Amino acid sequence: MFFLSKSFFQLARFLLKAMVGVCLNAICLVSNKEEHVKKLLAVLVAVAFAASMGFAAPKTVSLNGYTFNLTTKKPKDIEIAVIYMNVTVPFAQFIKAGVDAAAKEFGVKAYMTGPTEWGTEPEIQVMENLITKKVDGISVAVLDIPGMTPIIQKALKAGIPVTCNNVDAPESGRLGFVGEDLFLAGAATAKSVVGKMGAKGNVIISSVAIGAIWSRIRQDGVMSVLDKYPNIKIVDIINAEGDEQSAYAALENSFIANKSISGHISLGGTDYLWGRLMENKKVGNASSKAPIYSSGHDLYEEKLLQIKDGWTTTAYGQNPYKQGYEAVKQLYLLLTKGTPPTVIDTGIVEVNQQNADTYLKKIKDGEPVG
Amino acid sequence: MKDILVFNGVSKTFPGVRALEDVSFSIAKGEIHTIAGENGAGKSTLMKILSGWYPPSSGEILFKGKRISTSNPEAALSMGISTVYQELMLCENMTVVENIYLGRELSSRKGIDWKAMHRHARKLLDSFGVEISTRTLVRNLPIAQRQIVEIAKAINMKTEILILDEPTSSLTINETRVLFENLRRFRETGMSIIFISHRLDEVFEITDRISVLRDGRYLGTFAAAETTPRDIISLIAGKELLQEIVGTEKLRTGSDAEIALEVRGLARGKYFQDVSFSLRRGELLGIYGLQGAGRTELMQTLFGMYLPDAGEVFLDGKAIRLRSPREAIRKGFALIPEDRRKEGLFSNMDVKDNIAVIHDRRITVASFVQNRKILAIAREYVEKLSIKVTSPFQRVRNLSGGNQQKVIIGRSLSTSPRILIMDEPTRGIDVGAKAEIYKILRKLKGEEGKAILIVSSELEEVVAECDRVLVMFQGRVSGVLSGAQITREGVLHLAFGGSISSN
Amino acid sequence: MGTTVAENQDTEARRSGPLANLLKAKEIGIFAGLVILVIFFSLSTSVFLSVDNLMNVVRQVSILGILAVGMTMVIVSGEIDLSVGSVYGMSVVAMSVLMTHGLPIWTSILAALALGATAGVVNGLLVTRLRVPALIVTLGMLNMARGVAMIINGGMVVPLIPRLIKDPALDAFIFIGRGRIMDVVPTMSIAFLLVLILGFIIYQKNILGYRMRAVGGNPEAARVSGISVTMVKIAAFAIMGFLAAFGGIINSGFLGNVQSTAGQGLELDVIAATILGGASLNGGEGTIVGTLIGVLLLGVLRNGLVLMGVSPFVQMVLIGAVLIGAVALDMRSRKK
Repeated sequence: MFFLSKSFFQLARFLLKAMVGVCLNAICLVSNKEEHVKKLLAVLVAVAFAASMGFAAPKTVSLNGYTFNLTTKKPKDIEIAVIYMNVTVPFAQFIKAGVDAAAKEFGVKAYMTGPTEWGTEPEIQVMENLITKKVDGISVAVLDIPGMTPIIQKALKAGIPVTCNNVDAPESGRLGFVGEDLFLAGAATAKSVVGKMGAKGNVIISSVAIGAIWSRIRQDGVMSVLDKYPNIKIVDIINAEGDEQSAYAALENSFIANKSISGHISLGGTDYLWGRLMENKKVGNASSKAPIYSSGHDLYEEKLLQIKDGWTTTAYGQNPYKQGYEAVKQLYLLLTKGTPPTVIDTGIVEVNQQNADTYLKKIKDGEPVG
Repeated sequence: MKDILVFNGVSKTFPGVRALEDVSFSIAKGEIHTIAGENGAGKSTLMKILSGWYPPSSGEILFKGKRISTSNPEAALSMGISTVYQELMLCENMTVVENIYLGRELSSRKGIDWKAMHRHARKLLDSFGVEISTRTLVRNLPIAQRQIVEIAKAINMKTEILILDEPTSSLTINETRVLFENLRRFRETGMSIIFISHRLDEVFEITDRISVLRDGRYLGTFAAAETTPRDIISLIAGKELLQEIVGTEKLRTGSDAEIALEVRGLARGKYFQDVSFSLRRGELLGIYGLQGAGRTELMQTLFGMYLPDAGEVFLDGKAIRLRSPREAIRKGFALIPEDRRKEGLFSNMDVKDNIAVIHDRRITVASFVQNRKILAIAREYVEKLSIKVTSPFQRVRNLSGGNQQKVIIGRSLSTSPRILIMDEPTRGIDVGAKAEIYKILRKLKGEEGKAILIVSSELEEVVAECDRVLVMFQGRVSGVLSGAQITREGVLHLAFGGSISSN
Repeated sequence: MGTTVAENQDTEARRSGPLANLLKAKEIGIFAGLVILVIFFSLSTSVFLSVDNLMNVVRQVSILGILAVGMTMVIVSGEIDLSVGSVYGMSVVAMSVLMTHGLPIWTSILAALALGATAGVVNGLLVTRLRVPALIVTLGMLNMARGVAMIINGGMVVPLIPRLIKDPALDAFIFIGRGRIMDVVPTMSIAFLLVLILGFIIYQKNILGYRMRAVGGNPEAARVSGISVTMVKIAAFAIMGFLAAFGGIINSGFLGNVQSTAGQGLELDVIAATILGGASLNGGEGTIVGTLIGVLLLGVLRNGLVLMGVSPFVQMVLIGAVLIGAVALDMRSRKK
């Protein structure tokens, strides 16, 4: 493109110098007050100098059709924002730990931010503010792909590199992604449950946000497995929204309504409550006569204890610490060295009754498990 | 004269109640016609049928010879029947001109034609002889001017029949006079006016004919010139009540009774300045003044609702400074507030609670409310004041105005106050109830030696009942009248800013 | 002017009597609604009318009910409190932090209750002293209390487990949230019952409740009658804050963990249940028994619809319609 080429900058610099010269001559001609002219001259020279600096051709890198300048800032002035969909949920804190660690390691000003409620609109606002603030790089966890795509493109057009973390928007033009493969993660939970209960029986699926992208992709993964088992019947799909008591009541009511359940698959946020339900009802324990197998996502201490005690079966960690860490690292390398961000799969680790103790010990030792 | 409106055997039955029974009479074109009767006599029901709130159970209303078949207030309006209610129905957050043209805005090609609306509204208001800017928010107008706006709004609708429900209850004498001049003017243009008022002096001043209702029955129509207030009252009440209202001997206390309350140089803001007076035991001191003379504000300050800026109050010779109504009640004051609905009634509660709510220790044991004690207090005052209720559990909003007022008086009396402050205790209640309330007052000061302050706009009552009358003018005491000095003329003279010496 | 004669008709029905006092005409309507729903769900599903399920319903509404008792007092006093979900969250987050820092459990609980009540007092002071409408004050408090919760624990989940909380009373605390007496009656519902009884005593029997009805019915008249409107309203908000904290504490025992998002969005359910129970947003009207029925109605509806296999989205529509319908019926009956 001509506008971004070197020859354009040279032409612009020439034109600017010519204009300054013409103006100066004109002012000298009309003005007799030398003092004023001197001052004006000084200012104009300064302006011209600054302008020519600005137009100086920086080192650039072109990715996905967008061009970004490599930064000339000192590391401590490089500002990298990592957005999570809702920073009030505990999961965000695991990502934040990774972000903080990377900030410390590279000496950059990297931080976690994001809306304090669920919603596309609030997340867009956070993005907009960061664009206005001209941060050096943004990594965003996408709540809603179509909703976020335009604002991601707006940032890219403004020369701010954008990557995704946790939940991807691959078609948006974002430069990279770090997170789990949601589809595979969903499939893993289903496989885990089916593997235990066998090819026949009733299962319940639940999520704290049935409509969210992350939940939908995991659900697709679950379905890709369950579709192969015609004798497994999905008796209910529960949207356990609201405060914990409402969410718990939604699971409880469905459990009562649907007798003879052999499995529960959580798409996110509900497997701990399910374990609590089983424990309270004293049913479905792994060691009981009629176990109910439950699988879900993310590793919390109290959930691992449930797995150990047999109230829930498996949980899959997506390494949120690494998501936060890599999100900062990718952008840092892009801004300083021009290294293009890539897609990093943070993997899926399974925790079950056999290895729960290992992870509980890790948590106790302060390792970033999430 | 030609009859414009004919009531023909109108009856209205509500479940269990016969509100109107076979009412037949007519309103002539270009007359002012009073419908008189006690509260509950059926006036409101009749007017509500006329203005389309509900249909009659039987009978018909003929307007210009045609039967009105609608029960829809808007339709009644468009036929030319407008009502100005006692509780004004204006949008307080809008300007005068917006209210006058509400729902009927004039429009030009450019949209709403504000210029023309302001011009017409200006003309309309000028004809009332008052200075009201068409751009003022109604919220900022005094009550009297709001009423004029309401009437202007009604007139603006090509009204042929104008119903005025208690239009003067919150107006001063001067404002009433202006209103009456206007009513006469409207009459000349051929408009018929149905007038409802409890003030018989006004009724006789303004009306051509009077129709009387009692217990839903029509008792007759009389030309004002050929009857007397006395006759009408007898009809309304169904017995000779007049005596009790104006005829009895006044109990003029001697000046030797001890002074219960003394006020020296009391002032608060723009409301009143340098007010001094004393009140003796067993005395009924009337406070008279035009609206805005500072009467209500003075009473509220005495009751501890506001702190005075200057001045002293002595109770039984001891200086007191009241910071809240709570403190005032403890010290032995009681207030019957001016606005019954806003400051008096708990419409969500029943009669017994409305009376007992003022107490704490007397109705509780270890802070737990004892229904037994509440009932005892309530029964005592229901009986003492002969409040007409079906039971102490009756909702207070189902009572008539007079009985509601008695409930509030009962509440105040139940604290055994030594100083009773009553602000407009007889406003908007019917003749019978008025007489009863004054009977109670006489008993309170006579037998119980209570000191009573009474604010009233009802000149007749003030003159007839009060031992002394303190008259206020623009926030100051313009004079105190006692004994034979208390006459209509004397009180009015002071109320309009005159002084005693020049009288 | 005068009252119409028609208004006198319902007075006969209001004659006293122990039964009439317990269930005034208003509550009978919603009570009938509850009975109809119970009958309907009993006939249309096999599981609804089992001890097990009914106990579930009772448990599910317990936290909601605890808060609704407080909300009844606030609404009857003529105010509203939108901050309850956040005060609930803030109190338990504070409690969990104190517990994990080695404070005895019961001390931490008392501190949380005190914090909740304090938040209520602050609400009350702002509403009465600064005369800011309660809607605004408590909306502000909704944000502030949630923010404080986030600040206190950094947005993390705090598991209530022996590794973090050394106090041996932990088991007892968890039992209060999670236990069942004789394996049937949830301890949580016993807590709700206690709150109901206390609420009934304070609101229906004590002079404080009497004052709340007066203040909510007509604040001006209450002032003229020597009632301290300020103190009554502050008391209502304080009780609300206390009960919000109490509900949160029981809930955290139940879940075995504390999140800074605890109680998010709870306020709307609480207000809905209270209004359903016949409390009027204009103040002055409402009873504890009515609120209990409102809370149960909401719980029965949610439970029964799931048992019938109604889709969750249709459930939302139905519950919304019931709320509007109940209030509309109430307005009609009051107009008569």
